[in-house]
Amino acid sequence: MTQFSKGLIRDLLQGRLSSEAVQRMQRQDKDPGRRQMVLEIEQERLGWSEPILVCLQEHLFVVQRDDGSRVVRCDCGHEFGDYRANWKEEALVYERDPRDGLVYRGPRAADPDWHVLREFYCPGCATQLDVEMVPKGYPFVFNFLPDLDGEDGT
Amino acid sequence: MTGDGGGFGDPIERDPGAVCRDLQNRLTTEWTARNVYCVAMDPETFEIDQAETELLRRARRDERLHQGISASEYRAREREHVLRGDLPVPTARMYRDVLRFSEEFRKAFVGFWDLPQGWELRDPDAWDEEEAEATTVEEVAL
Repeated sequence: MTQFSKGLIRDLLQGRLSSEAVQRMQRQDKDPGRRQMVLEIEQERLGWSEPILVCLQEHLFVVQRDDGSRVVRCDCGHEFGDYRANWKEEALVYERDPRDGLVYRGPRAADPDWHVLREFYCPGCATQLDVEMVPKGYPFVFNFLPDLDGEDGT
Repeated sequence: MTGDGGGFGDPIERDPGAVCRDLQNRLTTEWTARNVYCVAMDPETFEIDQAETELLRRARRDERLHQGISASEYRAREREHVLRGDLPVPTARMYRDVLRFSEEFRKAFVGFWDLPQGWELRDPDAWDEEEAEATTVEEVAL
């Protein structure tokens, strides 16, 4: 089984590889130490003293704080609270009119009576962390709850 | 209706060079390059203006901090629509079905919007106003 080098995985995470190179990696077996290596690379990049437990998505991590609590933290340092709660509850929300702009025009645009387009921003660095397209009245979508205490933590 | 999702990643973090290539390959438009990806470039030569791109992107972040409201404020505002059943008819029908069939969804929905006990979504197919109101009578009593 292939074990990709740390340098290669770092380039992958930073988006520095060509799509051909990414596809070559995707066709191979998953390297067994990948999860641990990704955590190491991100830990080094961010320089946090508290360990990262999971990379939730771009910019967001679950971190174990010194007091034992596990929180969602943005790479800018802003914290969103307990990882079991939806981090969107602590984000800034902007509801964009789906007809806004010149990307989707006329009948290609979504109907604002049917859909809402919610943008979620980090209050710390103003990065757009997620965009939801949901029916009016739909609760915030909870994207991902990691099983941190599961049997297989590898 | 729409066939699209929310997309992936923050457009203002996309490599300006990649946006430039998209434009040259006619995969995006000048408007989108400037207003969505916040990339400044010469439309004739496709040369990227790094300094202006940086400015556009910083301005977009400031704009977000101004236009974004806290989730609790947003929820308080939207809750009123849900509570009154002020929703498009097909959407209200969909919710009424799912709320009846899935206890799990009901719990999540009622919990998220902090709805009163026994709350029922106003029936958009009720024959008259009185009948529609009757479905929310418990809410009124609270």
